[in-house]
Amino acid sequence: MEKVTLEQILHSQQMFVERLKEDLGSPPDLVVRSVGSFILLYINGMVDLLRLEEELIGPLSKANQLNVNSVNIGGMRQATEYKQVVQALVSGFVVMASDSSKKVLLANLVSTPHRGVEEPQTEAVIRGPREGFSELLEINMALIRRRLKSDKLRMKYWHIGTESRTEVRLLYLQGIAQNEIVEEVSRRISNIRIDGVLESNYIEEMIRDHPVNLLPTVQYTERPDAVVSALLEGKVAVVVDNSPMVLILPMQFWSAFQSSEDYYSGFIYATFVRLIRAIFVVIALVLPSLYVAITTFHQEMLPTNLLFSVAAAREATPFPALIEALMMEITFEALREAGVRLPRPVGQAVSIVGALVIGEAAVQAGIVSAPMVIVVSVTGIASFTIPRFNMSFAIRILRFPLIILAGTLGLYGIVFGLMALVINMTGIRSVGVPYMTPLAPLTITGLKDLVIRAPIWKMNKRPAQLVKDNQIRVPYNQPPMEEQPFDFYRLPFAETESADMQK
Amino acid sequence: MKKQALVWLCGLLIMLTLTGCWDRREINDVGFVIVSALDVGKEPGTYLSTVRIAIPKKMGGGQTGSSGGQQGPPYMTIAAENRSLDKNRIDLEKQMSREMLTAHRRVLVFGEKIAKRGLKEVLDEFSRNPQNRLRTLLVITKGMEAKDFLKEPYALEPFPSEALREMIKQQMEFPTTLRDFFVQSTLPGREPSLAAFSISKGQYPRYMLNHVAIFRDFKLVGYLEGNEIMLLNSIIGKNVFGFMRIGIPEVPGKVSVQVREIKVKEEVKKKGDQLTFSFTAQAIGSITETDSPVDLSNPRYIEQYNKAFAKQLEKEYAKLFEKLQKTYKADSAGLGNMVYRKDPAYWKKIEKKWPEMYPKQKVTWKVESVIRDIGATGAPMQLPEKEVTK
Repeated sequence: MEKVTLEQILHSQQMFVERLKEDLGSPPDLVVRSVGSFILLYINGMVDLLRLEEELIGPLSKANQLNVNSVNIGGMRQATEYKQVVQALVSGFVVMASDSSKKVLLANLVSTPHRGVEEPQTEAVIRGPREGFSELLEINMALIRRRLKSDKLRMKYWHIGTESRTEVRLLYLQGIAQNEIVEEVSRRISNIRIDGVLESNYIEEMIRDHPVNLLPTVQYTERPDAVVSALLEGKVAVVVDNSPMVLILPMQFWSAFQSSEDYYSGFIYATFVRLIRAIFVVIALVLPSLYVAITTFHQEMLPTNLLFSVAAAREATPFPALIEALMMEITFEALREAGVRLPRPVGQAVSIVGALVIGEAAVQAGIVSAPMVIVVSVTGIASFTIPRFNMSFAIRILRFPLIILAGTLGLYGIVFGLMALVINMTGIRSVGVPYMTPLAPLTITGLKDLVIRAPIWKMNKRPAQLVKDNQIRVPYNQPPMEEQPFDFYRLPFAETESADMQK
Repeated sequence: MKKQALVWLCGLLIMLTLTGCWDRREINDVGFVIVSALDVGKEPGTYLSTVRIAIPKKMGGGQTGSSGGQQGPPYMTIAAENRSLDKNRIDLEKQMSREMLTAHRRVLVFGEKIAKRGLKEVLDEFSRNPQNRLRTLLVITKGMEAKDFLKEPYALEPFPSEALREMIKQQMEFPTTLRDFFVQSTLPGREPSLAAFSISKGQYPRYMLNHVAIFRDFKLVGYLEGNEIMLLNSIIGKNVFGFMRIGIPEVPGKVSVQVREIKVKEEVKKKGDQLTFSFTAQAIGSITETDSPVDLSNPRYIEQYNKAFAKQLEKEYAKLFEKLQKTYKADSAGLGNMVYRKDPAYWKKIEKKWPEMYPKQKVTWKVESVIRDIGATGAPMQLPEKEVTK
């Protein structure tokens, strides 16, 4: 679109409308209405019709001058450029033009269809807030703002996508987030060149470190409280319009295993749950490969009675353990994929068929051994204990090379694979912050919130690798109850009462 | 850089695929040896190895869909006879459709004859082959060949050999693994001893664990039985288990005391060339039965029983050492080792002469004993009040 000034085409209302229609290709949902001496244009369906009637058409029919003050609508502004008018029109603004004053006003009466605030589906909690992000940027911003009534909340914004013009906002807390991190993320976002952004993953893939690494270096969440907690730790959040998933950077390896609920339940319970999770993450990664390695290479490692049980079960099966494991794991992944894709009423049928066919019939027919079914199902359950789905994907995929290594090289292969994984993990960074912090490089205070979850009054500092100044988040010497016990029966009135009773 | 990494990766992948799975053996291509028996062969100088291999299919608790044939014992027996144990192993493997794995063998049974001939030459194979475990139990069959002993059925456990292991664990806790044997045979001034099984006599012949085989110079010289085992175990083993019947002059009849714990302290004194070995022991027992009408809740009697118990123990210790020193001339309790630990230089001097010196050594015992527990009642419940000695 060549640069056109408004004056050039505002010779007459007729010409203005004709030009607009021509540039948009005369869409059938473009509504042109004349009210008095004014003309109104908007896209049908994107405008709140009720407010349009009451707040715009009513006052306009009485006025005779097109003036910003003549109508009382927030977000009313005067257009300065023709391009701006077109952009506003397709975004759902109402465009007003008058013949006489040669002015074009843009009124924000946008009301597009959208989903309300619902419970987050992928990050459910038992205790804690149940609001999840929705698709509308304004709603998401309000959800964050409500939890963070701070004057330090800063935003940068871009419209990314030459055609989609999707709004992307970068959120951070001034004075807590390191400027270098904010600058780096802004640089990466402003460098994006793309036609359309439909989901936050478009942004994630364009700005993440190590774009071809399996491990996620950007975290996403649909919980506003998780975003606020990340902001308080000195991280930055990227909110993308039309996506209920908000990105959090930089991401550490460990944050994939920390659920929001860890902070909403007592610290002893949270620590216990984290230990369980840690055990099951290891199970999810290595159990099938360990089973394959031990039953095909290192039979002497099993206790004798267990060995005979396994040997009895494996006696009739036709496939080597490696093939069996791969077969079962792939079937399990297929079942899970089917469970996500299928319409909800059919989902139950799939689970029944899956449980019966894979579990029962395959074992009875002697095609698959019972221990393998146990191993695969335990692994399946274990992979669901990982709170973040992107890490869960990574671990599920990593399982397969490990199984193949175990089936060809035994325990040596597993150790080989795990060492390669550890080398990779310690080598990568997310926005310049080492992926494995606070374990590698080690910060002792960071260990308070790694496998154990220290009490809230003990986590006094923000993560040292993210926040350089303004580190204290919880002042020391809390809680004070320990030193001065509060004893109800020692209170003066209680004493007099007991003295009365003695009389 | 990237190209080089790709080349390396391809190289690794080729290595994986070309070399194949060199060490891979599926669990159903392995035959697990559960017990081996070793006997003297028919030809002079030969050994007869009898090996039992588990049949997982018949183990039960496994697949329901597997083919039938659940009858018969869940193991297969094969045997080979040759001049060396390794040749035996090769011959055994030739009879097997699966690779023989001895890592899960828990019991080695040696016949009496081969034990008498000496174990010095035969034990090497069991320690050299890395598949074998040093925690394998090594037992002797008293008065019979090991292969005949194994033929005895035992229905309580899926494998009869498992019964042997459990019996040693439950009743004796005698140090009788391969490792124990090697430790004892290499310690200066100590001779090894092993648990010995026999078949009980009577209407229902079953495995019975009631002997300990005493070795001198790797050769079986005799057996200990009954409480002698308990007493030897109190010196060289861990837990003790045994019963004693003791009486006191004041009342008729005797009580049975179950010995629960004996702690032994040993000391060796040297005066010139005269060695004295003194042991002090603390024994704890509990009364489990009585045929005398005495009221055991009376501390006066318990005091007397305590003394009688200690005296009895002292007597039995003396008898045990009499047997070890005079009859078997085997230093199973490790008197020589005590000297070695006390004065290694002196031991160096007498080491050669020790076999002659050993039977003449003086051993003294002092036992303190406590009866901790008299059971649920003081006087026997069946007796009327007036018949009870209070």
